[in-house]
Amino acid sequence: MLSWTIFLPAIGAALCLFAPKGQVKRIALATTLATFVLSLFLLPTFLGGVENPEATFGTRYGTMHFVERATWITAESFTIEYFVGVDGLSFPLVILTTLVSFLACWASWNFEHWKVNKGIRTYFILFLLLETGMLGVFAALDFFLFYVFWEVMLLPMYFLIGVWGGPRKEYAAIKFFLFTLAGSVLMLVALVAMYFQSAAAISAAMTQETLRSGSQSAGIASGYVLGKFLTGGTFDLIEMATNDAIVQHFASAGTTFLGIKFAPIMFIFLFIGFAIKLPSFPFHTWLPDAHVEAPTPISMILAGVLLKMGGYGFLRLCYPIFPSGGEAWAFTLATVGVISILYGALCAMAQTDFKKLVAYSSVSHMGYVLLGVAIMSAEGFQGAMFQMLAHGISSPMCFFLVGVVYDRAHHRDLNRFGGLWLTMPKYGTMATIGFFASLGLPGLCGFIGEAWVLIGTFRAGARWDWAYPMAVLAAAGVILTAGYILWTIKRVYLGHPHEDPDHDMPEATAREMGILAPFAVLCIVMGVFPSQTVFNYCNGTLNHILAMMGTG
Amino acid sequence: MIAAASDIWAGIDIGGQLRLFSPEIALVATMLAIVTAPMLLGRGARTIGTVATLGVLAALVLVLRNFGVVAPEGQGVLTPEAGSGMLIADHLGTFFKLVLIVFLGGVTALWWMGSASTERDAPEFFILLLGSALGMALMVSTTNLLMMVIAIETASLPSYAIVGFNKRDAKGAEASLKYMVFGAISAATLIYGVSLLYGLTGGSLEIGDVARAWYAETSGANRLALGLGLIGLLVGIGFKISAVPLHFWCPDAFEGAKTEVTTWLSVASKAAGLLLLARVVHGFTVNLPITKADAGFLPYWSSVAPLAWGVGLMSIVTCTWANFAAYRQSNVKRMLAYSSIAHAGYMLMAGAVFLSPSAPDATAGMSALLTYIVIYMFMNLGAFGVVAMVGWRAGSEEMSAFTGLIRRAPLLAVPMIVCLVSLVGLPPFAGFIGKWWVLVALGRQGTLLSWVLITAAALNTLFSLYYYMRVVVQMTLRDDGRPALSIPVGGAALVNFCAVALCVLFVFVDPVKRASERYASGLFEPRPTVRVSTGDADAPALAERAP
Repeated sequence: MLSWTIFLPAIGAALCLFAPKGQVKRIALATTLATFVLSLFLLPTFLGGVENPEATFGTRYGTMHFVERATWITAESFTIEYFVGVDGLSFPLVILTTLVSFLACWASWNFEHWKVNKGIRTYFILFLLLETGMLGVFAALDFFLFYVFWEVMLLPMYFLIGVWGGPRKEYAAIKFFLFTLAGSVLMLVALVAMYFQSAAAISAAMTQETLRSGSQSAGIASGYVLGKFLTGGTFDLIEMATNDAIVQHFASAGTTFLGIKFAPIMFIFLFIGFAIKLPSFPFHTWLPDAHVEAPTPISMILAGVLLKMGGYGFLRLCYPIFPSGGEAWAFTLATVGVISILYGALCAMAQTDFKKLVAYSSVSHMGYVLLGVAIMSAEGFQGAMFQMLAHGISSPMCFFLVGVVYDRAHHRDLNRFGGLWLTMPKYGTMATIGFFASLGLPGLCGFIGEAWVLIGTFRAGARWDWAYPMAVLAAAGVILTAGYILWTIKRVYLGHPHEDPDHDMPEATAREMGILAPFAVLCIVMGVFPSQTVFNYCNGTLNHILAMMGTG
Repeated sequence: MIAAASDIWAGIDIGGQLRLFSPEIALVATMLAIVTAPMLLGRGARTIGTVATLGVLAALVLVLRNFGVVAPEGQGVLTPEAGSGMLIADHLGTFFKLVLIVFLGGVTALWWMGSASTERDAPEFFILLLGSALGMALMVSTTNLLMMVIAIETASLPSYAIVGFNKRDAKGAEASLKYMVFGAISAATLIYGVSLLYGLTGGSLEIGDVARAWYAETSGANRLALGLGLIGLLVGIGFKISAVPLHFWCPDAFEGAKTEVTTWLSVASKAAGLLLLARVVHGFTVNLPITKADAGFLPYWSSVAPLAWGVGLMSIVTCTWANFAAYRQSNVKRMLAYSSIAHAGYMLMAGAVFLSPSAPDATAGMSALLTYIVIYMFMNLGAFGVVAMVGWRAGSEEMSAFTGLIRRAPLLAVPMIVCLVSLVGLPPFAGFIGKWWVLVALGRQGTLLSWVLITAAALNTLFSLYYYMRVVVQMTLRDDGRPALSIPVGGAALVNFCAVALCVLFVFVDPVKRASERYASGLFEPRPTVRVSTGDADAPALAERAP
């Protein structure tokens, strides 16, 4: 069923290829809706009662649900698998992806009125292929497959920004492509290196077992892991994190890559790949360009889903597989996270372009994710996960809110708006919810994640002295955030309406309200019931990752 | 003397040996048929094209017939002495000949679509094309230095002429001359190197003897002379591969030649050169006087490492240089010429693995190279096919001719995007998987050199993205309202077939990889048995091949 969820959009894309032009939009929307509904069927497995804590709190790490695996490439004694499954870490993100994709697809409904309104068929085909790629990244449990989905996403995104984007679309699109590829080539090196080191680990373990027990067969038997015999290394992400032989071998000081200790260097290779996607401070410059130039629905996808892949990558690859790497880099990562928070917020404050402001606010918000994972504590991980989901709801909403006014005013200059609440009361209400959620107002979704991360950082002070100043600085980010959001609300929604004889500002349409409403509801529900909506499904898995890392 | 000569042929199964050689014979026969056809049937391009096509099909049938006949470890052909003939028929050679002849068919198909209607000198064109194919087939079928020289020249001389085939085109003539001057110099270097080797091995032309001499040589002066000889050999082969710094002919020749010819040279000439290099390196590998991976008794750093690092550094320089040089090109054909140099670099990386003392490692490298060649063939046939059709219909191969192609000819633009992205090496296209197997072969070996090469290959993927995407941008994001292009149906089918093949090969790469593994494995096994010198003066210091 998971495979159906992943590939349903691709099937929809194939349908779009042959459908009459007028039907393409409907097919795409129906496909994304069907995918969303299908993904909701993942949910019941993770519901449960007190009597079933395993299910309730997301599963233990490594206990996957909806697993589907089949060997894909076996030449040269490789075991590259088609291996997908979800646990408490990935299934909320899968549902987030299908939801945001559906709403973004609906947001593309006024395609005919766009400045570049050619190629509707291609647009929706690429859109659906992108969705398949994104779902694949979250569901893949084989590193090779993960990498493939990760790259598959690039090309559709490149064209979606490059063809249907704003005035500097070409620049933004190639910048996005180059930055992401720069990260993924490092990941590719790590992919090869990790495979062969895991092979070394397994064969060493088998030799050891043979020597210990004095029997060849016992040694060979120890090569059977998770019921399969590993002839070479493995690409299985779960195996790499849970197989003691591999974990020890990766962490061992004797294991090196080009003379450098293996765990820290691999950790940083993977980290850079994900940090570019996240994006965190020195690697973030593609994001304002891409977000600003992309059409509104694509900005929603970018902010809502693509950025989460970075955070997901940390939690799926970096930390479970290289805990010692995380330990070694904790200070650097936390520093980068705090810089992202503050720098992103300061940049946001300086913007006059509405969309760019939201884009920089993403940099700032994702800084909390990085800080949360960097401190390697339960609060930190939970806060990071919650922040990802909360940002996945609030930031597409903000981008859509910007899109709505852009459709009417055809500009995004913050200083040329004013008093929108007067002419568009319903829209204004939604905007307030969205922006306050982004601000981190208690009771809305943005608050919980930030609070958890800050608490975690303070607590981590017991372990690392540097955590206290970090926590103080990160908390200051909250004030900056409040500053730029409140200022924005004042400039755009309050005050006197800006006189603009060319463009009147009619109230949001039913379609626009239909897209905003689910986001708004989720902002409130997640803020009020954080446990029932998020923590109950993820915490078990997250805590188990920490326990495995030995730092729980 | 005559009696003696006939004696040594006694007991040799000439029929069986000729059968192994039959694809080449078919090519020669086709050339002869094309020479005679104008007298009997006239010089019409379609007539000659038909004869040539039939000849290629015959060669294809014959090479397919040889599959399964050839022993994996190889058989000497047309030689009085079994085992070390002038020509070798083995799995590797057969595999390459199949790819070569399939590709020859693809190039002929391209010719039918474009030049068939305007060609005035079809007989000459096909004689040259088939002649170079014959040379390339021979290049991969020999371990004999003299035969290598002959094969390289057989492949090169028709190539010079075919590059400047259009007599009225000044650019083609310049390209041809440049190609020939470079070719002549590298041929001279090659022959000089071979003559040095011949002298220093005490009169042997077998690459195995050269390797044994290299490993056994203790005198510094002789070693230097042997090294010079090897460099000469490497220059001759590097010229065919167009490895940097022997690549200068390549962009000019590729730009000046007809696109069919460019397509042909970009894949066939390079693949043949690479596999000839593989033959040479293989001679050094199987004669390595070590089997234990950790055998420290052989001065590894002074005998094997220079060769491995030499090939490895050459590959890094080649792909990095070419990728950066490609940035400045405004002619798509010329840009693809640099791209082909870069890909030769990636393939050369696989060559650095052949020198591994471990047979599985070396086999992995060889099979990665074969898989890469198969995939590369589709990528280049597709990309150059599109360039050719744009050239025919728009009259230019400049970047500007591709403006707005997605609207003007979507059936060309979409396969072009697939081929270009595949050339970058991104999933979900086969170019990625080709590169992947090279990286894996390097990783399997796991030496310092191989990790350096892996990192270099990964970085080069990044470097190359921008210039390939420039063409994509020109096709998709720019449009100045040029009229739509009418494209030949067959041509569209050919390039779209290539694009689909690239997608299919990505998902179902296993059969190709397994086949190339099977056809590579015979080469490095059986390993030589080794008698290790333990200081005992009587024990032979060098390896001897197992009986």
